Amino acid sequence: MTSAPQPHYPRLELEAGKVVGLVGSPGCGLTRLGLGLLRDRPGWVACVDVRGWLSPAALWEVGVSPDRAVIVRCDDTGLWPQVTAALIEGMQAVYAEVPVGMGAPMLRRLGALARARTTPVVLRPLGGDLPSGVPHLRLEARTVDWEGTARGRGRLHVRRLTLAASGKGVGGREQIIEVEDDGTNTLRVVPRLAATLPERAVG
Amino acid sequence: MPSDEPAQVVDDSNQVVAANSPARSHGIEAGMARRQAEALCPAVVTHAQDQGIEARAFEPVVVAMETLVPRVELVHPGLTFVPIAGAVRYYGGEETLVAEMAASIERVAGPGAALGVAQGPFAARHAAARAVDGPLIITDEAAFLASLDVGAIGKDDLASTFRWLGITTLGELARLPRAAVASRFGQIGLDAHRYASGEDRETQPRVIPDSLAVEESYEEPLVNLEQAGFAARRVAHGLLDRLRGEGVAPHRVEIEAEAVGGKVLSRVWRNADPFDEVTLAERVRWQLRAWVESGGIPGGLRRLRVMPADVSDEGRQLGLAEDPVSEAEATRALIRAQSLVGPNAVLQAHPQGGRDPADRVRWFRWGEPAPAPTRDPAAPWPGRLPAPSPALVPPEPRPLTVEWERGHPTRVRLRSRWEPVVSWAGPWRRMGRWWEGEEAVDRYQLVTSAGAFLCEVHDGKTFLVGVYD
Repeated sequence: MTSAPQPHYPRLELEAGKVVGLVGSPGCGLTRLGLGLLRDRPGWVACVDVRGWLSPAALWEVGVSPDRAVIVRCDDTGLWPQVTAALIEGMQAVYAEVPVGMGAPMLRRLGALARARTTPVVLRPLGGDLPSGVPHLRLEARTVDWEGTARGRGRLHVRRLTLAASGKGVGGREQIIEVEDDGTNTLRVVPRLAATLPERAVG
Repeated sequence: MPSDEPAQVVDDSNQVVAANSPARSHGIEAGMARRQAEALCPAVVTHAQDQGIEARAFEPVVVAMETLVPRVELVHPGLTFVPIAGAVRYYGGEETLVAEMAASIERVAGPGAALGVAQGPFAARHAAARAVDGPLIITDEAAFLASLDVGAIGKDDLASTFRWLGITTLGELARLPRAAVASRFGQIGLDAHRYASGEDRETQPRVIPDSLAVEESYEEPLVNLEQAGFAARRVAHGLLDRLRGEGVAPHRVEIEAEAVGGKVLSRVWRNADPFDEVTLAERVRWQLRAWVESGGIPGGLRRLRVMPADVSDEGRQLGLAEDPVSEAEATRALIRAQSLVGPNAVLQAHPQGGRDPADRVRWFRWGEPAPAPTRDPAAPWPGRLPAPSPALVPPEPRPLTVEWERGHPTRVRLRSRWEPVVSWAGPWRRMGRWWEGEEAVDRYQLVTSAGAFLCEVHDGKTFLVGVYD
């Protein structure tokens, strides 16, 4: 008798030269998740802020030191690839918002640069998706739930984010995972809901 | 500073760094906390320190000194070292030369300059600090140093440890065996022992090859200070990068600038510790500003060159997690980013006190010294929103359409669709400065199926101030 295979959850951490793509509409919690991925990186990390909205307070809360983090504001679509490429070349990790309309060839070149420089990169498109093959791990937000508030009482406390993980980082099979952020750990994968999607239904 | 009313200059940490004579007559002195100074003299006018402006104001003093003795070395605006061994013979004695120099400085800056003469820069600096009635010339340097308090070494933690060990003067420190001090306190203790013994940092005379200099030429002359500041950062990084490859660090650098008409200016800056990128870029920027604003670079800057004037084997002490190669690569990347988007868009931030997410962040440009927080982060800040903070904060509150029913939010308009509010928290009331006419603001956390938002309500309108993305 063989035991049932244990589900293999994707590791939510940056790997050298690998791109993590975060796909979903603003408000679904992907920015905090992406910033949390930077927390254990040694040395300097940079965030490319397209809208000028990125808050360093969230960066500090997830554990990134203020002394080692730089926010580069760039709302010019023409300059964005050059700025991001410069940061990928020299920083220890890069989180970059991708402006709407950024072409697939440019994103592929940045992915290749990240591999060549072994810089881990988090890409967060502000509209649409990333071209296939660019992210090693693609995380798409499905639902977001907050705990702690009730008709005027309490405060936002715990966030549960349901994500569809795909790409080589999960062996090419899409998985649904749930990430719980209770303020102390932004990247805790909660196993009770994690399950591999059925590949084919037979009726 | 005006001379007829009490005025003080405070640094980023709200510590008094200078006070004029009316302020001093009220008991205000350098090193005092701003609040303490204001308690002593409530009418005192406070100015924030700007060393760029100070460098500009100090430039005529340096020029006046250079007319008597070449190779004046600046440490920071207000402090220079002048090697006078050669000039003494020409002027016929130290007293004559120093009197000439005091008169020359008084002509351009008025009375009040403090001049000290000693064998080494460390003793000369402390002699100047004690020169109350005219220049102080130290003849017995060992005795002078031995009488100084151990705090004169300038490292507070180390001085406290020495005091705790019963060593209160530099004389007592100098009598300790050097090997024992070096063994117990490392390089910092060794330096302190050398200062106490009248030996300033040992320099190894060596020929510095021209190839170590970093030079930039500009087809379009640099005409504004923003461009000059950026160039300063680039050459500082270039020089230190090159020296790092040679395994040495600069204690003195010569900055040379060429104006469009061919006029060449140069100045030497020195530092007690080896220069790092920030301190060197700062000195180059101050110097360029002083030259530009005093009309020394007519037509703009055509060429900038920075050359090490004295190097040592002591590199900067890196932290355990610091790796010099990745530090240099990160610096290069950020300089490149600055050249693309401008220095105002490459930012760092430090925490400070405040009630709202935007208030709790103190922004500053990367490559510049971090300013002290304007609001105490350790203060209680009643009404402060608890963590988690919104990851996205618009630069200005943005109007948000929210439907309310009997004081409760029911739905929010997000772009073209309405999202029902599934739960909410608040309001947290921020009173504001009611005495200045500011109205109270109510803040809510709204949760929808599309995400959570922080909004504030005042004047019957709702504004978005954060997205919990």
